[in-house]
Amino acid sequence: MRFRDIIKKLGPGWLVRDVITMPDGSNVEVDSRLFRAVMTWWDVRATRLKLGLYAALPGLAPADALSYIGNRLGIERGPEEPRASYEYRLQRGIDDKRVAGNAWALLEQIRGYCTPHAVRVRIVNEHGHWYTIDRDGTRSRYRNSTWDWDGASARAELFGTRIPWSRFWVLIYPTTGSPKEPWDRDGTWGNGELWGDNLETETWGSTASPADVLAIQRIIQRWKPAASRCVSAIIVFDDAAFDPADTSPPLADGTWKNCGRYGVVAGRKTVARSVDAIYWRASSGVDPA
Amino acid sequence: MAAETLLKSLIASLPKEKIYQKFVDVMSALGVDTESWQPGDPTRSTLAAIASREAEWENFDTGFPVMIKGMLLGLSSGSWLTVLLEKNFNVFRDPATYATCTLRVTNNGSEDFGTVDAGDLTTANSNVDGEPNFTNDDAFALGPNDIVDIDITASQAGTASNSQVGEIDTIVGTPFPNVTVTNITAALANDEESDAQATARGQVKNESTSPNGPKGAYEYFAKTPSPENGTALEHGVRAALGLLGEEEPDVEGAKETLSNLVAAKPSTNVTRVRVIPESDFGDAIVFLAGASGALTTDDRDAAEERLETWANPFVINLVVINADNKSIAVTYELWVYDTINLTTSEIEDVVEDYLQAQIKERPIAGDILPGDTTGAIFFDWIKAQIIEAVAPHAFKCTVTAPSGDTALDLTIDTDTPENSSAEVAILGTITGTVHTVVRS
Repeated sequence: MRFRDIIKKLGPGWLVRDVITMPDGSNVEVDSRLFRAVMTWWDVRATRLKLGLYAALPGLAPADALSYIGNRLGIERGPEEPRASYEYRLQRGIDDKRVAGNAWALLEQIRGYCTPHAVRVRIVNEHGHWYTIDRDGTRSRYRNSTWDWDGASARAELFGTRIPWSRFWVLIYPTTGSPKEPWDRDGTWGNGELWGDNLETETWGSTASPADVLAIQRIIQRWKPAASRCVSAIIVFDDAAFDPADTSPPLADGTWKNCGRYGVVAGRKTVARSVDAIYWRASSGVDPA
Repeated sequence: MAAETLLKSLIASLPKEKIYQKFVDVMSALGVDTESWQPGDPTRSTLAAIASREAEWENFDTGFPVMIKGMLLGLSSGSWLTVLLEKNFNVFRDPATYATCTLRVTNNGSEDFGTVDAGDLTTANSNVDGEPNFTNDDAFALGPNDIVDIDITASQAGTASNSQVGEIDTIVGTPFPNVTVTNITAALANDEESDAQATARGQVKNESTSPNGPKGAYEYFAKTPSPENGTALEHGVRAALGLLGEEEPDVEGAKETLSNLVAAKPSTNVTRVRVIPESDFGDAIVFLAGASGALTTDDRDAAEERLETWANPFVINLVVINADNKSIAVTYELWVYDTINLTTSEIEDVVEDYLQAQIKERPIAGDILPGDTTGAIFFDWIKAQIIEAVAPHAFKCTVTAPSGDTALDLTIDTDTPENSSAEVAILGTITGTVHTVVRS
């Protein structure tokens, strides 16, 4: 019941009723307009309180409240992610947090950020174990591939230093159409763009914005185990690239620490890593706070 | 479809003039000739009075907006935040704690004082004016030429009673001739957890439910008492309810049981945590500090125990490191309008208290700029705090010490993580010169 509807019950007729003279000269009895003005205000306030309570509930909360709920749960919203998708992820946020630190949880957050684009996401760890969520959501694992980023494990075993066993890499495959979504290749050498151009909106090598790169970094930081390091987020533009079952390049072969390397062509530096992808630093190393 | 009512409009405040205008608008729409109202008109006066009362409910800090903000972590504050954290997150705001330490009592004379009852020896930090004092927890005997180590506790909760070793050196109240005292351990306490600290703990609560070692789990359990304490609390409440449920309810007994529970409410004394979020070698390096800087060994050890129990997968090399204090002396000159209505000495106290409160919130290793690997307490931040302490009355401030940004150490030793180190900022001597200026 609205406050406006209870005016009649507030007291005797002389208090809660007004008599209005109509244009035709007839008198009509209506609710007190004074009370009605106040009660209308109270109805507005009651609605406001109800909506205020909804503001904490994903699915009922207004659009600008979702970021507060997301911040509480540490769930990033993608720039193109539909509201319904984000609300769904917020609703299941507590369940997702219970598995924070495992591969699937991290990959699902990246998929969510890239929504509505169906991306394939992968993690490969130092041991060569792969976790894949395909575009249709199918999960699969592959063990003991020959993945060797920079030969550090082999060198560590050879020279008796610590083995960097807790490293991993994240791979994101944009859609296969043209242009690829959410990011495609962008820029070619000599096309006129200069280093430092459009720093706020563009990055080198892809259409991703700096905000996209930072968001992916934050997701990785927040959803990975603390005692691990994501060496690189690899954006792969060829669906056939980085097949876990490959036993030789283009899978990492121990020479990928730097983009370029010597020793392949005498006297020249050559590209070390697969050119089917670009490579983002996965974190800034230390949190701002 | 009606436009969505956004949160920003739900938490907006309306002044009484706007509420009054809404009343008038409704009455106009109902056919009332509001244009003809004169000052003193009964209807107009009634609406103005109601609008005035309703405006109190619209206050941004105390009215309906607070209730709505109170539901959302990040906007919630004060007692609403306390309730939100308790009911939605099962997170309890840390209360202020009482500083305790060991006091060495030396009787340099031949007088036999016999048994000194609990609370009969009152001592103080001579660097602090007035309260808080410290009293002995238990009775002890003090004979001629005796040297006795006793436990003492501050009379007030909070960091105002914090004293470094040797600073509690004065006997106040009942005199003990030829007796000297000195604290041989530091007395460290915490203030009640601030809104910012409590909010941060709420934000990582959900991560604490994962057994996979996400960063937030380390942050949460470093600062939060073991969940076993929650079980103890539940048992205590049940015991109290049991006393009330007896044939002859023991109200006093129940009250005492609950009172003891409140008094025993655990606190970790850990208010600042920096988890190094990256490791090639499976190391989880966690730096800790409290409101006063470095923790006591007991508090650090207790935190390590909690992390091993509740956050750390056992194959991970957990390294818990107490932060080192970095003292920052501040010398400033401040110009304030006389509208502040305080003496220069009182203004200096306000600034000092505010700086002390704010420095306790700075993270271990300071604020780190994106892309940097070490941080600092920034000169601009210090200057801003001094002005903010007496806002809106201050209009000029110069700071001569520190002379620039104060870098704080953050060294990660990847080969031997136990040798990693980080500094946490504490305030050194604060020297202020305040000028009050008549506002024209």
